[in-house]
Amino acid sequence: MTRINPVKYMIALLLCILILSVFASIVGQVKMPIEKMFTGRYLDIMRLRFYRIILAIAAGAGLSVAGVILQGVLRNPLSEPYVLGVSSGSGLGAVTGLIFFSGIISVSLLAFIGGLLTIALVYNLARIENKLSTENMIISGIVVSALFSSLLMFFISNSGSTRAHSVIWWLLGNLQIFNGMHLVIVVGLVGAGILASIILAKELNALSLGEEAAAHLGIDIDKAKKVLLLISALITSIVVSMCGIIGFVGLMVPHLTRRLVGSDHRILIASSALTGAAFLLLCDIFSRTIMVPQGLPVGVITAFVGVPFFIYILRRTRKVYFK
Amino acid sequence: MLHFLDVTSGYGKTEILKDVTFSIDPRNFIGIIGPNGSGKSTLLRTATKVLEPFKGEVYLEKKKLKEISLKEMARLAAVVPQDILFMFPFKVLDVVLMGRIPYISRLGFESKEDLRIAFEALERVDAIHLRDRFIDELSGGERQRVVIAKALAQKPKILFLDEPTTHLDISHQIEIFSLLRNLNKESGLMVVAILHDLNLASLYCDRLILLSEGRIKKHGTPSEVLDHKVIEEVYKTHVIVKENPVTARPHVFLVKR
Repeated sequence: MTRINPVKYMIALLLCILILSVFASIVGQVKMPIEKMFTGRYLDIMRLRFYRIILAIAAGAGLSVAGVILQGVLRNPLSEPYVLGVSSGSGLGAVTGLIFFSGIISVSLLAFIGGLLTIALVYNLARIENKLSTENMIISGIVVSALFSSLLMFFISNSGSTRAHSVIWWLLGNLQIFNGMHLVIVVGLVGAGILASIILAKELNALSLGEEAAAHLGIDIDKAKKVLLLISALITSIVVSMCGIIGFVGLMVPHLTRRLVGSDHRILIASSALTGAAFLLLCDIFSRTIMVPQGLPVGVITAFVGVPFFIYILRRTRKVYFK
Repeated sequence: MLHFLDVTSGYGKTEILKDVTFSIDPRNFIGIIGPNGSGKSTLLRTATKVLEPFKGEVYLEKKKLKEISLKEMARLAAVVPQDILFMFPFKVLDVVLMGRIPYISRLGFESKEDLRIAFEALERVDAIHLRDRFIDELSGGERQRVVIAKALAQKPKILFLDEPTTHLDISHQIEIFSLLRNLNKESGLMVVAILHDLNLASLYCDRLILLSEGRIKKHGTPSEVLDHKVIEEVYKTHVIVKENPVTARPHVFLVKR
């Protein structure tokens, strides 16, 4: 597979995101007459659409980078926030908030706490005699994830039907956002997480050779792993707390980007972030234009678009990618 | 120079290497031999600061190992494992450039000088023509040469190898070992290799360290160490040792039970 020049790729993606953003601001349930875009009641709709576009970009970029980090640290293609239980942990926290409390702040906060507690739980379950093995991490993630999923189902089945509906709707992934302050928090934290991971790109490169090989290159592997896993958990729980569970982005985008620009994390992280942003923005445009007026949860779209695309990529190159 | 002084080391609470003392002359090509579980890998991990010894002291270049930082260590010593499992499609040149990680700053990319060193390392292992290939497309012998080039790009004083040719056929084994010997003799790089194949060890190493149950059984020239009585005792199997007619080095023949 021929590589693309990463600079050209990133510029192309930026243009792509710009065009998609313009498009995303005109389409939707309310038809937007371009000449009245910034007047009267249209201005409020424009504001909400603008929020939504920014959230899609932040969430797409964040989930992709969280996936890149997990795959690099754990050297495992199945690693992504969902497999490691971070998403279901955040989901459980958020649903607890939705059912027992109300208000977006408690929901977000509980989702965030849920996500962080999950990564701490998985991390410590997987740690035996001070050593953290990748296999144990994945197995612990699956076990914890299964437990949390059943707890989620328990809560949902025991809550009233209206509540259950809103909880399920939220869980399926939704980029609706009304509060500008929340948006600023999400963008700030996701942005900080992405920046931090770029700073640790050298560590990620070394770790992708294996832990012992990384240690021989002078990397403090335990510290690097801890910090990187924490960054990834932070990004994931922030995104889940705002948008619910949007699957497939963290798995698919890093794979695709790796094929296009290579595995050097100094390039891969930024490229994946842009790819993920463009991808989720596109998916959200679909989610708002298909099945008007109720729309379709964006998580459904990412799976619909993601799965066939993923199979296509895998079949086309017919190469054992991960050995 | 590498010096172990009364070192006991292992995993968790299990002692694997026990009261080991030896000194290695940098001009020599050293082979570490011994049965499975005798502590060869533990010795290597202790010497490369991956494991901290329970007791005793390791000196590298006259410095205490525990006073050498991880980064400094990566500039002093490089390790070539049995086989690196490449999970991601890196290009050969990218892999070799990773050997420069201990030298580049946090956010920096490699300089022209780093690139020159990487090219030089690839030339040294005769793999410069592979530089734009993907590492997962290479044969086992080619891949191992690239991994050695990555180690050389670290510009180490000492090169550790853990059974570097286990998965390779005889022609590639000879090729890799001749390369290591040249690196040792011509470039003055100290080479310490864990070896399973006693005859390869005999052929290429100046000195051998024979480990048995975590202790040094014998340390000396191949002729001194590969004594049939010692080998039979340590490996608990019958062997005949004869001189190789071409090289005059001892050759170990296996005997059917």
